[in-house]
Amino acid sequence: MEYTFSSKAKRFTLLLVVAGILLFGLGLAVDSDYKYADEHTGLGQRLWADLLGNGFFFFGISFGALFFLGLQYVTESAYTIVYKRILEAVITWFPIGALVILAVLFAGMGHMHHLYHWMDPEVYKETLENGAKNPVFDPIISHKSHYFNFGEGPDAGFLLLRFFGFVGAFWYVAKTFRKRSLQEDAEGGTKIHFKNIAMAAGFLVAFGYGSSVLAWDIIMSLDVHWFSTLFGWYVFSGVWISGIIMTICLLIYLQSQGLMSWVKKGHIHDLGKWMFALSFLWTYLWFAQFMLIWYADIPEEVAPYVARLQDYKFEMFAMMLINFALPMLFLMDADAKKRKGLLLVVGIIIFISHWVDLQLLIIPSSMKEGGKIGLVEFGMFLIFLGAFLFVVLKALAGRPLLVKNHPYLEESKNLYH
Amino acid sequence: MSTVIYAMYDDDHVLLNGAKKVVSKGIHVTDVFSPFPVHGIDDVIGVRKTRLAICAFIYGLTGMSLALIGMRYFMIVDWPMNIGGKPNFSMLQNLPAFIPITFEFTVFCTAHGMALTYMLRNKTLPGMKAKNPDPRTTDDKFVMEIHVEESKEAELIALLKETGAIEINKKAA
Repeated sequence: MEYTFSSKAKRFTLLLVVAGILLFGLGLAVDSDYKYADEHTGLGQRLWADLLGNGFFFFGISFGALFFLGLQYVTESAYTIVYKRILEAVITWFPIGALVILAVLFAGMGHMHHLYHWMDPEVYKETLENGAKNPVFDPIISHKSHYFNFGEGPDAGFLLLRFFGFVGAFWYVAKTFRKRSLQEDAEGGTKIHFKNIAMAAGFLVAFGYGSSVLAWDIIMSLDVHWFSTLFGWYVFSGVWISGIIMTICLLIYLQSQGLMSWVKKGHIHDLGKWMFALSFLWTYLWFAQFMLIWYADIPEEVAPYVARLQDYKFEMFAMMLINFALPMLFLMDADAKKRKGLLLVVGIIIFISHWVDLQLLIIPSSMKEGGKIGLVEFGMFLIFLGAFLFVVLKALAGRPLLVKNHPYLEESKNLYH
Repeated sequence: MSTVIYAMYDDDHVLLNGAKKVVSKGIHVTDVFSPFPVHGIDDVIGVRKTRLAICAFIYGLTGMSLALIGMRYFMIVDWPMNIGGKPNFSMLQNLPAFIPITFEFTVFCTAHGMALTYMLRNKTLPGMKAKNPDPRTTDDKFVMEIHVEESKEAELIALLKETGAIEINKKAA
């Protein structure tokens, strides 16, 4: 059975984009005389920060889905096979999301914004040309000049090398998984299955490094004087659960269209369990990072948290409580995880809440105390969501919804829970 | 006068299909003894949904409350200590420091409470006499237990043989 991207669904994605543009414009009008923190953190900076925040969020959804797909291959799991095509559709946004992030990085290198303090070449110079001391010299960033691409010599461009290396490799893996899935439909046998396992195993190793390195480079370096060793996992756990929620929502949408009748309660239950469990993975990492820094109370470590607790206290604790308490209270019961309506409602709320979480990693760092999560941000979120859904549904419509000839297809169809 | 029939099988699928057949005749299967969980058997013989989860929630809540009350008494009320300058006069402000212990104690109480409840309910606490009808069910055999009226005994035994039971024993109830 195939999914057809109906004009109604197309209109819905278009509606999201239009609503997003309207909210975006309304937000700009409302905030026309808004006081920003200083001349570096004006409206332009705000828009670039929003572009980064939304670009990374939707990039992360594809990234999380790609990781999940690779995980299924390596563990030779059966339970996801019947809705594997949804995961394969979600990963099609990966290159587009990467392009948005790349645009923000390049704009920063061209000094169109000041999101990244380390992109300013002045902070690396100890003395000025006339021999006097450089007032903006930053010894801490300067020590990291080999890691960023502003060092002189052979390591120049290391940042872009990392970005292109990891993203390029992951994109290749995503494309190959998609290609082989159709190939397996046509050919059958177990050859492709074993090739997928080998490739996914290599991918997961690269992913272990890549997910952390990308999170450091793109998000953690916004606060260049601050670092946290579990930051990569923390960001990743947030995008992973967003990817799972996106999969659940698409699955429920397809079933409401009368498709995917082979997906049973047990499959929904398994996805519900992932949503429940990943909420606690995220909470655990959030709290582990917060508590250690709060307890040690070392000035250079607490600075970003102080900034957030002073100016973004409500957003921070509201999103923390929602992301933790909502799944815990509503999804603890085994029967609750099988109820599609409940999964959809809880899923959408924590999806938005995880989006707020990611914005809170970016906006306080780039906008200082003058930032806010308002209509402009939410409008851009809707624009991205509409575009994302358009790309994903288009990819979904291009191929049959059920794989053929996968070795675990029968087991997956007759899943016992 | 009724008797207890023990039908032994050597394959879980044969057992499962056998149980389905017996149940479809309107006969109540009291219990199944097996060395590992047989998928689907609880639905077939109509085992009631476990209430262990409710116990677990209560144990967890108890553990959490005990940990919080205890730490409030030790660290705030009775003997406030200055640890790294953390606020020692307020439970709420010092809460992050108490979360790990609260978490651990919740898990501790839930796990131990569940394990003890499970063993108590199944009468398998250490030192209790084993209740399974045949020690071979802890190795590679499966046994189905059925209570039956003496008058229908022969009919049932024939039915069980037909479903593939390899051995049938009986005991006065």
